[in-house]
Amino acid sequence: MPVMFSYAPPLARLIEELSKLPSVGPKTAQRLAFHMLSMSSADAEALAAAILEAKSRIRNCSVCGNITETDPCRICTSAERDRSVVCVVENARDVAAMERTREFTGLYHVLQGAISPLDGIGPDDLRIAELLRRVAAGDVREVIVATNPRVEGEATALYLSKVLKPLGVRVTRIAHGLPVGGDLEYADEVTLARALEGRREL
Amino acid sequence: MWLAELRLRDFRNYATLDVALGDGVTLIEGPNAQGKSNLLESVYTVALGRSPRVNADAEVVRFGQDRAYVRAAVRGARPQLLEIAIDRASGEKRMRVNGVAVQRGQLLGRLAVVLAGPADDEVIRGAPASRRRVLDAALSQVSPSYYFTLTRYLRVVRQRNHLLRRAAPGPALAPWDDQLVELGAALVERRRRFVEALARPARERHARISGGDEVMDVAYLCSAGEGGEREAIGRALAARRAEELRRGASLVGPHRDDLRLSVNGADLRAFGSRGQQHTAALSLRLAEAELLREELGEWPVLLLDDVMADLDPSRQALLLREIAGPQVLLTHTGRPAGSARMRVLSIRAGALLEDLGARP
Repeated sequence: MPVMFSYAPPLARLIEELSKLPSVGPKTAQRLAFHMLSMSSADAEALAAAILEAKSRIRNCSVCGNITETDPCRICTSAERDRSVVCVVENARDVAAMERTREFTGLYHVLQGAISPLDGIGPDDLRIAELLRRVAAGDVREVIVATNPRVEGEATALYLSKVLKPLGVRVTRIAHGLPVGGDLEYADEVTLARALEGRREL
Repeated sequence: MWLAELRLRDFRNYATLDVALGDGVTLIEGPNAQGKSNLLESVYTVALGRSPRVNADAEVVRFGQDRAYVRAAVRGARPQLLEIAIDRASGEKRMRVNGVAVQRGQLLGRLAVVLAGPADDEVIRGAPASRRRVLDAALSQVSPSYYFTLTRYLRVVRQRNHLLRRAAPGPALAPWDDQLVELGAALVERRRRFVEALARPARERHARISGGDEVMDVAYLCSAGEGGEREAIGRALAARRAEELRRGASLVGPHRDDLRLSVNGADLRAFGSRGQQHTAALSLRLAEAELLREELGEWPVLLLDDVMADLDPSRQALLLREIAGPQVLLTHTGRPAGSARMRVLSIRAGALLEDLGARP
């Protein structure tokens, strides 16, 4: 990117840092950098401070692995949550998605990934030992496995069911079905086929 | 279904082409190396989201250009507009249906096609992969869930092979074994039904085209052996575990299966004259078209690339009777016997010399 070398070094450095962000290419990085230069000093400082503050104050909950400001997190310490059910997800974004449903009142366990040999991720690289310790400690009656429906999420679910069942806990898998609000006739055949597999008694 | 309009931009040797087509047989005529096959390739590419030639997607971009584009207006029970753009540098493909960006899995089956031609030599004589591709392309066009299961299955095989190469222990392999069995069994079961249904029309077509006394047969060869698919694959996996670890590859499942094509009991891969192989390949493709019609409720478009070349005039006339029904795009260096009433497109150096209607 020879064009970058023509910028003054502080600007070039800002562009370089921005272009390391996901889904930000060189052009977007330049646009963002110029936007930041045009911001008021107060706004620029607020942005820098927000990044640093989030970085220093947000960490992973030592119990469930979700991102949190307090450790253990608010969900893990809440008296309102059902401590007998644990929902296992791949990452913190999945917790946020589940929470938005307002339907799930149990606890979470964030694996921080899924088994994928091609990416060098095995069971030992995920927070599975922590999950087994939580289950062995006693209160948990059901583990709901809500890993993604990709083959890696499926492999993780199969692995979890093998290591969890000997502990005498109920292990369930969420159904993958139809998006609500979509008419049946417009659902793609794959989604429909999966929904059919996950059907239940009426 | 049929292809009513085709637009090409910088595809192979075509700078621009806009052509309207009829729903019957269209003869695409011209000397060699003018772009007749490229025209069929473009139809296949917009219909299946990839070139029929393996790993050739970026090569379809015209020399010196950045991007190839194909647009197809489909008529039939579900009229729709399909588009594909292929970028030379990145190899990236963008597909649209009625203007909406889609994944390959959502494109398949909207313009069902069957392509027969010189590439089928590879189907008859080549490695098992080329025969599996016949089944996978046909079934993916019939059933989106087949394509979905296939892509998942192939991902499972890649993940599992990675573990096998590192001599992973049983518990690490188990979740991948389970998925290989589950997805693999679904694929084998679907392929078997397809091949069973293919055998009869292939035999009948072959008998008519070859003139009678030879009997063609098509059979599915399963690497896991016979029996219930799930049990057979599970058993075979257990039996060959040591060999799989030694070779660092998954050796059982639909990715190792094959199709056996034979005439009078002799495997065409090893025996049979070129003429016999050619006739068998053509019979297989025509049977495939017939089966797609049964499954989809509409004829697929038949793309016949240079299939007349090896036939004498009486066989050519026989073949033309055999292809009545679907829309057919037929390439040939001249005008075969019985082509008098066909719509003719004359192709010269990537351009169209349109020649409408009948020649007396």
